[in-house]
Amino acid sequence: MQQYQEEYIANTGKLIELMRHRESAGLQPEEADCRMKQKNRTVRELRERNTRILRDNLIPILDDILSAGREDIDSLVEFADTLMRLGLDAGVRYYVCRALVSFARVKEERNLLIKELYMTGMALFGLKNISGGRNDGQFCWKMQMVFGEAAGYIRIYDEIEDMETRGYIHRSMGNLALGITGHDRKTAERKMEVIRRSLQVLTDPVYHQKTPGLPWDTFIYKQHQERTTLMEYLRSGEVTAKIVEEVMESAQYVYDKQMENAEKRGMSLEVRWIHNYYAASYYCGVYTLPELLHKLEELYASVSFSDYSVNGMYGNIYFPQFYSVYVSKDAELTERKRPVVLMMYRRVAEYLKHVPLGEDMDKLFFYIRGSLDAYIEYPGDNCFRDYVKEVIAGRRPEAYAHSCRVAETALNILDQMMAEMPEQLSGIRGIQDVRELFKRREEIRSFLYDCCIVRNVGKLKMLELYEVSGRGWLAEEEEMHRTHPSLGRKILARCDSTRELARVVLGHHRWYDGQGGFPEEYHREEEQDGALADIVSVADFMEKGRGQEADGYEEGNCPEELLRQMAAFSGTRFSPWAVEAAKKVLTKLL
Amino acid sequence: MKTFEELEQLFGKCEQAYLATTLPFSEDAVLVYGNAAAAALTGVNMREIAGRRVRDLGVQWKDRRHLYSSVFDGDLCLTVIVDMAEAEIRAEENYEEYRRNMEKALAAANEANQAKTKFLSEMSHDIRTPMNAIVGMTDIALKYVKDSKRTEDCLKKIKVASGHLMGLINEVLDMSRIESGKLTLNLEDFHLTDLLHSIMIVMKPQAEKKGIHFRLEPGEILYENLQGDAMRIQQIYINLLSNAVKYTQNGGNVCMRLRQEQGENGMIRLMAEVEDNGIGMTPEFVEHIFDPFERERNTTFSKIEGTGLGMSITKKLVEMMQGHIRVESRKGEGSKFSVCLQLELSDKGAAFEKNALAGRRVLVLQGAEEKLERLPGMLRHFGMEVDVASCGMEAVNLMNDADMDGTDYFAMLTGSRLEDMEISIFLPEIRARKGKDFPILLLSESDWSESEYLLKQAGVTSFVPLPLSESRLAQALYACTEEYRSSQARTDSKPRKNYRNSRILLVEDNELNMEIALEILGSTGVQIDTAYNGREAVEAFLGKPEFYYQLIFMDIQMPVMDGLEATRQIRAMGRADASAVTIVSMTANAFAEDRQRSIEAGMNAHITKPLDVEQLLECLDRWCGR
Repeated sequence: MQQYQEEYIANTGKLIELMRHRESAGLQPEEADCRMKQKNRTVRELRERNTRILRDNLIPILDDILSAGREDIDSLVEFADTLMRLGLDAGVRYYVCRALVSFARVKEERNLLIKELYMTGMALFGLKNISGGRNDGQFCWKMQMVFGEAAGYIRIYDEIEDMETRGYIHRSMGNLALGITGHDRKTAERKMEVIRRSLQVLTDPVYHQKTPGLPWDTFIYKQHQERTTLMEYLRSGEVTAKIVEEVMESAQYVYDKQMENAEKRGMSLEVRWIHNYYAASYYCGVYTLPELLHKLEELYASVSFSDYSVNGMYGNIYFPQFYSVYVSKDAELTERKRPVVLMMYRRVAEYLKHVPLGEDMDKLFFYIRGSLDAYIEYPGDNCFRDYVKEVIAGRRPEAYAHSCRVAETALNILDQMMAEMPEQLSGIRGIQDVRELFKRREEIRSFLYDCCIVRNVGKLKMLELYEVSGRGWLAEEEEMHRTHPSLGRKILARCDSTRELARVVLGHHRWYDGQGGFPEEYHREEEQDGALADIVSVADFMEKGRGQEADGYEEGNCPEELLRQMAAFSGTRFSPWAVEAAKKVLTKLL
Repeated sequence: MKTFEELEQLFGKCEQAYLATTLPFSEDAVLVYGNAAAAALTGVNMREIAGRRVRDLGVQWKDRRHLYSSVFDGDLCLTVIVDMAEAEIRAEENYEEYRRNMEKALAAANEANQAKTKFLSEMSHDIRTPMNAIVGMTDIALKYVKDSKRTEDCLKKIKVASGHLMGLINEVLDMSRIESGKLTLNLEDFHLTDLLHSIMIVMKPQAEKKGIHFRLEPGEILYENLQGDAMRIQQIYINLLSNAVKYTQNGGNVCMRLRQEQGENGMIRLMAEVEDNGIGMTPEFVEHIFDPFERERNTTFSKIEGTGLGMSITKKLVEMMQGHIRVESRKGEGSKFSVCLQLELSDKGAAFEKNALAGRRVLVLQGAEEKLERLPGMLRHFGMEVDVASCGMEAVNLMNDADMDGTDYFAMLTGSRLEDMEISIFLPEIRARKGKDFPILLLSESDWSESEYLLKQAGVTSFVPLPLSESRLAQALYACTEEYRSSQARTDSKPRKNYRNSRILLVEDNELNMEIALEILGSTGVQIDTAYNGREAVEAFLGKPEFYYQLIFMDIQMPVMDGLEATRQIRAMGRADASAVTIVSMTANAFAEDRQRSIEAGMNAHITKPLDVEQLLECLDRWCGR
């Protein structure tokens, strides 16, 4: 590798470490705030340095890749391989591998082409995972293109002598299934077909003989594992017996393999493998839903409450999410299982209080955020709004502290508007009358406060974008960031206690005049609480402008500059009334 | 001077006519002729009257019985002496008939005058309206010339008004040419689906702009290659469609359906229906729909502009093509125009290369907009194997399968917009993967000329116009085959004739055109003389020995003497090569009657400007060299 590549990787590692560091957990907001500012400065410096490294060293080579010398090409290959091995920077990997593909095509270096097609596909897979599931179609078809092209070389398999390259052909063929998402019949059948074809090749002894050094068992296992992801589709009623049989076969295969591994290690089988097997049995029609729930309850009871390993986290935190998903399938069961679900949620909260800070925090949070999509709200017993706030606070206290400041600023703006221009708040929360506005003042303040706290809940779906990125964003990443209000809306719209927050959250980055910002699906003029979204938008800008951004992307401005910027955006990006009130709030704060 | 016999022929019977002319004359005037009455009256022989002076005849000229007919130049006099008594009796007999004829003539003249007045009144209003806008907006633009926004606004309005005025003038000119019998139809080969594609290009944006759903249903096209005046046929259809769009509300439907029938004598009947669900017409108006300047008045559509000549021109054109046009309409429900044209079949259809396509496998990617339902069937009809993808992702899947199975696609045919991804992002990936020689054909009903560069950059190899035509599709696919490429390579490398001993005369007044033609022709080795107008051309031809020139390229519009006159003069020369030399006209004028005039003047052929290398070289091949 070249020096700039090594430095880039080292800086990225440092940066991720900093971002993941949770020493501020449990601190008072003021202290957390102070630590955050210090950390943000370092993060910013590292990101700027890394961006410069790429701009000065990498981009010129990628721009003129066909003129690159062998040394440059080899170093790029190594750079991309290292990033992949360390699980870093899918964005840069994508650009590097794409350039290498172009180079290999023109120079007719077949082995390099096959490998880099595979690597490009893997980088795309990484980007797809970061995107939180929104708009992942744009990555999927490209994955299909590159994996498909690499897999196509199976037709001249014998001409390719390099064993490693043959491995990339098999990997690519297997990974074709990764780019097939969706639960409709056509997609499912396509996925089955792709896996079937891949397994046919992978289990063909002729290929084993031709290339004996490849990890055939791993390849085959991965295909079975991928096939079990189709189990949810099996209950759609459109499925054929052949598909049921194949999925069940794969579930059994995965179960047996895991059991074998566990026995070899002298350990018991991990919860998730047992759960997967039960789930497959249900989806294939072996168990009824009540039977599955019963099995899962038994399994849950077997998990130690004091097991803080990844397996323990899965059982204690992730498992209740699955349980909720199954329970939600039947209204009567949802009600009948209320005590069980609530008990599981209480245990989750209790477990989180006791789990020690450690290496596996990312995994822990991965499990927690998954629960946002499955949480069942029982009015009077639990509240999703409170749960969301807890999750946000639990993830990063400094981010939570920032949100609290945004919320306070928003309340100040609201108060200012209520005092001086209450008519501009007409219509919010369905209130048309100024007297009623004042009467329900506290309710409105509470609502606005919560909107500010949860406004970035969508970002939880794309944490890698905010925490693992060691440089300025690429166009694809900027595009992903712009989906966070929509992702947030989707999470919040699920439950009664958060449904009304969802619209404000959706609108907090859309311009007041509808001519800019995101997402385009938000139309302010149609929104009852548009004025509240205006306030959140201005408050967010103010706090970010003051250098209080939790993710450390921007440096703060002096108050005069902030006032100038807000005035410049008055009537376009921001509501002129909210700006008017915000200016007074800012002046008071000074 | 006319002879006596000629004058006798002209005036000998004059006494039978009622002559009311009384003109003063000089007594010194010399008489040139006297009829029998004059001879009887004066006692001078008829043949001797000529040459005498008036006074020598000794006649009492003021006698009411005798009158003369006319006097020339004061000195020369043509005398026709009439016995008035006799003439008056005859005149009374004829008077009633004469009066009746005169009354009829007067009525006809008045009617024509009224029509002319109405025409002028309508025209002056229609011309004045956009002219007022142009003048007014120009004044405003000049006044606010520094206010760029306002000036731009004025210029936009001027552009709209100018467009309207231009349309009006064109229609009036068309009408005038039709009325005066000057409009002739150009009989040329044309391709029906190309014509329909041109109509789509014009009408689709118009309809979209008004939010109207426009559909063209070409039906089964039995004969694609026809003969007729394609430009005028297009004018007929576009007039009908423009009216349909104009008189249909936002969100409405306009549909054009076509079908072909075998006519008599090998002719083809091309039947078209243009149907809309617009405002429709009253039965009273339908009766006058084809009268000039008629427009249906409707409060909703009070701002609709038009000359009211379009339908009238349409009908005349249809009739010139031995066709007929019918209209059905109901007020508030819509209208349906049915046009039947009689056209001849062309034998110049492109040869299908089905055999070259049979067995090849193609991938069809259905677009989000284009209707490619018929495409797979057509391709299978060529013997091709077809896989159909409904979206980009499916196309990728099929391509992957084909790659893994080792059954590559010969080509991909795609609509211009995809359901699931941006085509300009998708195609470069396909191009990169499949290489530069993989044919990607884009089928579109829109005008791709604007985006051609970008689409070709994105990977498109060529375009196929919609609605679909078997022959166009086959040609486009065949052009992607190895067979075609190698045959092209052979054609391209085919040596042309030797022109070294051939001489041509190039007549062209425009320096630039002359330079282009010299550049193209010069490369062949042919010897070229030049002339800058018709007279120089005639002199050049005359100044050279017989059969010196084998070919003359003649511009039509030139100063001093135009190309037509020069051709006529060359052909009229009494030398052996005058009728033999080939004269080819060069003009951008596409009017059929002008081409006809070239032929009538004696030209052999016609090539269009701007000059095209192939056209010029083909002429050389045909008429020069060995």
